[in-house]
Amino acid sequence: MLLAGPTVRRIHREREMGVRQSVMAGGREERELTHPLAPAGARRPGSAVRSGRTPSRKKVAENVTFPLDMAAVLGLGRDPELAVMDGRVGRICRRLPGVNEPVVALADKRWPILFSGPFRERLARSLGPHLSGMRHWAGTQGETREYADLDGSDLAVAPRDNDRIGTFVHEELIPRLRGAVSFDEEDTAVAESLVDGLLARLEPEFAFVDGRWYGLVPFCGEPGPRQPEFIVGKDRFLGLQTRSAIDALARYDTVLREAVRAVFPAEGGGWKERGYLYRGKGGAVIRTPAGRYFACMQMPPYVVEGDDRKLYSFEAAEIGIQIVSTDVREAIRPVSVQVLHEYRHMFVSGWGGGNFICMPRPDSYYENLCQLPLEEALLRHLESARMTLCAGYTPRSSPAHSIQTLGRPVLSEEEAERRGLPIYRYPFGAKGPAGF
Amino acid sequence: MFQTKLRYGIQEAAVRPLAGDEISTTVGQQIEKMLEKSDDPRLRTQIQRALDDPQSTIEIRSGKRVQTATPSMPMRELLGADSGELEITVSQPHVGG
Repeated sequence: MLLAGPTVRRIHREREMGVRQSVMAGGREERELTHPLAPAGARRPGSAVRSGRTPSRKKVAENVTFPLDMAAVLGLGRDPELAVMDGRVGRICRRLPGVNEPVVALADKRWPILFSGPFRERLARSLGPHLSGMRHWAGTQGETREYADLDGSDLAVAPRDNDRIGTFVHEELIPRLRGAVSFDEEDTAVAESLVDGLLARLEPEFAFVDGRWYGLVPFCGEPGPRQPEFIVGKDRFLGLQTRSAIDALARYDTVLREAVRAVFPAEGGGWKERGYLYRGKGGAVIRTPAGRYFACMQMPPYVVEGDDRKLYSFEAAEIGIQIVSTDVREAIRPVSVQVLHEYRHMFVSGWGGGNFICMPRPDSYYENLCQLPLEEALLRHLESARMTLCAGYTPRSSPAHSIQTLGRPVLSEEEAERRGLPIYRYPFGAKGPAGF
Repeated sequence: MFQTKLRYGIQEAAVRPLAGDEISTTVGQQIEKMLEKSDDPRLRTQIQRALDDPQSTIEIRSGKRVQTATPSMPMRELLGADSGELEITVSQPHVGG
């Protein structure tokens, strides 16, 4: 072989390539390609049996059927072509438009858009009947996902004396939390929270037409030859981003799962299985698979007024602080309170699960907490974090993200009132140092 | 009649019943009345200081409903019809960022 010339080496190369191609042809890659994109929730029964492999626990959890897909949520079965604009949803009809009817103009054709009502109502109607199924699905996901974040964070602290912390949790912290009634979830609030989470993640204006998805942007001027133009009264939108409807729906299915995961950790369902040692109205205690203890607090949905006087809706959240020591001076640290799931907020630097809340406090704040029993200090620090998320947006705060860039749904006063959401006002006239 | 609880953060400051004729009082007046029942002078001072600060927050829990309020708001506007319990939580400013 060492003496082989270029022709022999070429023959060897070609033989090797031939073997690789035949392996690929009979292998997993080709099988994957022969399956078109399946609708969300659809499974491939028997694939593990065919391959002779046992699916992992994580895979089993992922395969628990998600109860619905975004095609059903959007109502594409009833309205196969639709547009979502200005918070309304409308069906695109294949007929000649009437005078002054909203239209989509695409490749020299004009079709009318028949708006049928608010988009959020359609979402709430679609999601409402499936809350129980989604809660169950989220419960099967939680064990493999959330705690991996809490244990795997760069800032996760290895506790010094876990036995003492465990004793503290069971003998001091949980008895302190007991006495409050069990956390009572209200399906309407959960559904609204889920809709908010979904609206925050979807494009504000989009359309499905002619087998494609379009992300719409306000527009004036002359559209390109293959760019659809949406005209509603004096408003014009252009389908600037585009992809196939199948790809877009696959992405939306992922978005829906994200929204469900974000809502249900805070709203209950299978909480004992997810590592909660206790869960009540006043707070909760988690023990992660790696043995870390967290004192936690649930926050119901709320509304924050922005500096632009708009009312931004925030879904329910669960915040927690890892108990790293039974010594209060070591346990209460400046950067310690985390949001336990994905959450978009001005004072949460990243949006993945387990990110920390930015809540600057003077030394006197920590000195006061250190005078308290540990369980009291932990719960007061959590309450301070809760109030930071709800009411910490003031002229003197320096948020990591501006409230306008979070993609949060904007509500009217009447809508917030109807849904029973507390509104935390922006203190426009506030001056001087905060009292902490 | 409503059983009313006053809190400063998570600390309980006072509990007293809200009589029918007190519904016409304001939130600030109701808090002052409740503070008379409080036997913790430190907590009393902290709540009074928070009431003077426009950046402080007052939350009213009535049944499952939570609302924010100002000291000048009439209690009548904040009471749920079907609830026998009312919780008023005063919080100092908690600036974020």
